Amino acid sequence: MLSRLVEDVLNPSDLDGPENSQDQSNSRKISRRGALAGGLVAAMSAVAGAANAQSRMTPQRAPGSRPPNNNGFGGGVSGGGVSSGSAVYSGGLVSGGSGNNPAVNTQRTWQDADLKLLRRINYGPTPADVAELKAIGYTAYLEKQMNPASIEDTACEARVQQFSPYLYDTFVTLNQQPWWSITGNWNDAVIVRSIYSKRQLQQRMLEFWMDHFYVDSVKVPGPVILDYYRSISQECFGTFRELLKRSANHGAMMIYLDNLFSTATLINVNYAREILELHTVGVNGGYTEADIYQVADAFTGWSVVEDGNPNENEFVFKPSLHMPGTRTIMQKSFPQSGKAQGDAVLDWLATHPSTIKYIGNKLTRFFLGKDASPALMSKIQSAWGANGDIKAVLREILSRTEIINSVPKFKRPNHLVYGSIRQLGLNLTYISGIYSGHLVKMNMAPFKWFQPDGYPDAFEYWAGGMVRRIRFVQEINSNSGLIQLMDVSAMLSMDDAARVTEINSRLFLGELPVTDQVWIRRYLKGKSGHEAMRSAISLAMAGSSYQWY
Amino acid sequence: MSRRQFLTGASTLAAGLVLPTWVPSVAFASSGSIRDALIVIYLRGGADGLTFCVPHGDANYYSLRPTISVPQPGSGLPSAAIDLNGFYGLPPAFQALKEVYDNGHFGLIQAVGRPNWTRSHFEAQKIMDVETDEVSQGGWLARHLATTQPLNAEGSIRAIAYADAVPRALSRAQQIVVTRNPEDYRFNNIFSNQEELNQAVGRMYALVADDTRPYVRDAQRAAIAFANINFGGYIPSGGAFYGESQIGNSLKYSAALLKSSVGVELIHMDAYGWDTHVEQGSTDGELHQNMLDLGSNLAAFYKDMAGSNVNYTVIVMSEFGRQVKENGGKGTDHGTAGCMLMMGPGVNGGQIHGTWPGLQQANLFEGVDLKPTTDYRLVLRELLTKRLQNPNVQAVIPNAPTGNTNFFKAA
Repeated sequence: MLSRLVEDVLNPSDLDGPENSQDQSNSRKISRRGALAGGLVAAMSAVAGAANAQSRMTPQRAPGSRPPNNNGFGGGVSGGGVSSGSAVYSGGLVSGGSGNNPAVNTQRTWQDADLKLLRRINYGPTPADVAELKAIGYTAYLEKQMNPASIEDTACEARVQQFSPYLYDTFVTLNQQPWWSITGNWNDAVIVRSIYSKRQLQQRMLEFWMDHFYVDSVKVPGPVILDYYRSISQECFGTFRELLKRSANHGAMMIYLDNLFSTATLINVNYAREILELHTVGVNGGYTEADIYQVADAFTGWSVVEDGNPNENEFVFKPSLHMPGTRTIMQKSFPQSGKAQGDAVLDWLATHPSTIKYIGNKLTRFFLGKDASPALMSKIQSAWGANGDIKAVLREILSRTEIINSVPKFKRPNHLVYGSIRQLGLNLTYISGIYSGHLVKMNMAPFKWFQPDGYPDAFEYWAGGMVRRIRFVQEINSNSGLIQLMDVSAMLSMDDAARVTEINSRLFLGELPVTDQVWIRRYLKGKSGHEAMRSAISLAMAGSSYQWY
Repeated sequence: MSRRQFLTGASTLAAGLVLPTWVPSVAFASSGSIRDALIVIYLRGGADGLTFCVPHGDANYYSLRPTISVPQPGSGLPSAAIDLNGFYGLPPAFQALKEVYDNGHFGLIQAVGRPNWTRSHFEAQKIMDVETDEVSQGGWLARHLATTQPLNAEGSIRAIAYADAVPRALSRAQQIVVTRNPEDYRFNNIFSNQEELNQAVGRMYALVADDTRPYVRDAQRAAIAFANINFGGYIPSGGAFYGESQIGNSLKYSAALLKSSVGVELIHMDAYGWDTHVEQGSTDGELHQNMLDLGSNLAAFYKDMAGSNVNYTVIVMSEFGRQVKENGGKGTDHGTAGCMLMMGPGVNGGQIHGTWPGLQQANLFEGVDLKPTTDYRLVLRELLTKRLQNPNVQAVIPNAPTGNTNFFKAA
């Protein structure tokens, strides 16, 4: 049957459908040009119609693999958007969506709930991660991951220390260092921990919170960012109330959202607006423009230590800049004076029903790829409690039932980079290569987003970067990369089926769809040598099965 | 199931998944119609329209902005506004555009906004980008592409976005490419069997049932189309000189793309840095530098394209303007009405469109902002109709108001 498939692939003229006709005309032109990579388009258009053959064939199943999901074919060949007979042009819209309307990926229907959890809370699960989860079970594993201090992580921390020597220094010491050395410190700490830490869920949560309480490193000086990063990272599994307060009581946020310029004489509402819109109740949370000004008044005086002091840019409340008076925010009165007023506003917002809904949905989208169902939202509301108990909320979002019903997510560039290196087991000795060579080029370097809303978490946004993504997975598997390559020598003596199995277990936890296995195996046919093995691995990683999780 | 049956079933299902409900009623423009290439420059952050189009004839402008206003023409200051009509002037940063204005090919629309507007960046941008309540219907520019035949039937790529990722206005569009640097938009050549490997990648994507597929296909087509264009060695016409900035590079690449007729008919670029809460520097600071970058590169593009036979229209938009009164940090907070810019042979330039709402306290929107007097959707509507020859404006900008406007020349 495999030969039948090949036949179909090689005879595109045999295919039907207006979309294919269009694709073919382009692909013929391209093949004539003989452009190096032109085959990709030709192959795509040719194979689109070969789904028929594919659906009929029964490929040899690699050991440990799961049955194919037959709903994978035909349903979403959405490239053309053509329906014959009506005046619909093929330049239609790509289907999919965000929030309640997830992007379409019908092929990734991972079966095993344990492994599904692992993919959501870990950038790139390794065989060791799988073994541990299977040994202690879903619930115990999740609990352990939510208590990062209980996880021995000395190897990773030693590596962090090597790249980020200033990570634990005081604010004053940090201020004495050249700014560039500090910048490298937090960049490298984020990258190294995301790749190597056994506390993977903590890194995933840190990713979430740093986007949520976003500050950027263009406006905020390096030492301040570093201190902010470590302050938030300690509270990933604490309470939302404390996180909100940490963000507000930090120079990073005061500088980033201009609150140091907001005084009793002339206010600046930048931070006040984002407290409501981005950090707590959300844009539909029930506040008015006037409420924003009331919040701004409450936060006058929240500032930073002046330049020239040893602890410059550290948070400080300046009573002389605070505007006295009672504030009324969303019909709630705040009679407190001084800094206590802002604190009271934050306390109140931390458990506001709109905040619970907004944060609950955002966390749910982050982990499950869709908004919380009414049932889940009700559980989140109960779990939130008096302070916003993050662990309790996560237990609901990451429950076995929710994980089973979660929908596929497209890996953001950082996820793809960290997970790939983790799963390939590459030993990074030169972090800047990953930073400037890949994260910057894929537009997701830490703290480099342009706006206070943090990096987007949507397929539609990142989908335009496919060229870079494919280049990345090829580069880290070739000699052109800046890092040590994966050792593939064990694969050399294997037969093709065993090679596919090896790739499957290493990168796909044994759940690579059979169709992908067929393509990789076909590619491997007659190949030998290190480069061929690595290119086959890159092929698996370039595929849709690896780009989504 | 025969192959034909299978494919029919598949395309029905695909149509159900893919196509918004309005599509069946769409009638396409006859092929061969001529429309402008469109360049949309979106200034993220809420650009200060009162500095783009200085109301130097309104004394309140100076009393409300004691430290950040652009001085009156004739004040003798080098930072003075360049008078346009005795009431409005251009900031000195837009000096290069004065000639284009005088040629009638650069125009401004003052006090642009929308009813029930918001001062939230993210909400305002989302609404402007999507222009419908249904996010699933994609961005407005994506719907424009979806409802028009390609300008160049031979071309494989219709739109380019100079961005880090897909701009929401182009969300769900097909035949688009996203890059900051088309010169670098290519696949690897690092494996000894690279072509075979790329073919294998293509085959895998041809079968996947997910939304990644069209993006991979478009990426590949673009890489091939761009390989034939010498971006690095491009020499602008007419002595035009582009700055080494994101806007400068993007406009230079755009000129090269449009002149090479590879089929690109829609160009989108985002420019950041317009959220000037602090020390905005209308004539000497951050805002001045950003406007200088925008204005000089727009003028270079105008000069560069002047000798070509490519019809184009540029529009510059932002999510809102800024508050009239300056704030405590010599900056401005989020406001309401802003200013749109338009450039090209098809615009009714050499004039300032829109009704001036006045800056007296009683005339300010909610007591603090410039009041919108022109719904920006009127501008987009007319642009789509007159310059882009799109007969399905209702599908692109649903429920847009209609009005007797005259921003553009009839094609």
